[in-house]
Amino acid sequence: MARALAETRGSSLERARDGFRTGMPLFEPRADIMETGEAFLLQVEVPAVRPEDLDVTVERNVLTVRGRASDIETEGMTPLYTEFETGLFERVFRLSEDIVQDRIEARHRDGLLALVLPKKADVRARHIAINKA
Amino acid sequence: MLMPAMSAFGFDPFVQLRRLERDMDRLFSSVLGEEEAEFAVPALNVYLGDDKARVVVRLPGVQLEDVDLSTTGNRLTIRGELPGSTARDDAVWLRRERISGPFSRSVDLPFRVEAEKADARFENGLLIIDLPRPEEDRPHRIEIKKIEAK
Repeated sequence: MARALAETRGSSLERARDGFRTGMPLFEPRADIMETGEAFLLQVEVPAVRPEDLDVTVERNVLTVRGRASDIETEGMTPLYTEFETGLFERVFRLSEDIVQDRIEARHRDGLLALVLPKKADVRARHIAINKA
Repeated sequence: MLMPAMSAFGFDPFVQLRRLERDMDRLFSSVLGEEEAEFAVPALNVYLGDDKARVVVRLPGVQLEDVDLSTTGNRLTIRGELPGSTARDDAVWLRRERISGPFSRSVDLPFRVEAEKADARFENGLLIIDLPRPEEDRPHRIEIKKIEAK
């Protein structure tokens, strides 16, 4: 599973080449993906993003998280140095058939977006009772 | 299964430059035998005004009580712990990009600040610290007097 995920991403050179061809957003936020028996859990870092500037869509097995990180209010001040950028971002995830797409839940708090993607009942992990011989 | 995929967005050459820069950084850090961003170094911005300095740190998922701020002279030090993603014990990791663990960063400001009057707050995963400059150190405008020609 982890290997399949890595392969989707491709090497940095491949991504840069694809980026020239298809165009890319300003930045890709970091994400963690976990799996339990009942669901996939996705956590995406979205600091500096107001709730109204965050958008999550599911369309034909593709989950897209996109939005805009707001500029920091610095009226009358000048930047001494800046390490992080603001602006548009986008992150795309391909969903498999075993996710119930109309029951995906999203929660946004403290600069984190947490998504719960429930699995279809027939693919959920079941505990197998071991009978004593 | 849940897989990251390519996106289709407007073309931006700066993205490519940034990617190249990041990839070069990774290349050099791997040559030097450093681990790739396994230590937590939160990104920060510093802004200066006449009456204060503002330090903004990217700390998604962090609470104010998990952060410790201290000043020595012109230096501000921010310490804390990045909590990382949490799930039940039976959860299996499929992808881990977020950095977790303790962090410490220091910033040298170009002027003295009054630590006891500092104000720190969290806004959407950003820690915003305002450090006022002592009144006597602030720049003062010098009145230029016009000399009347006789």
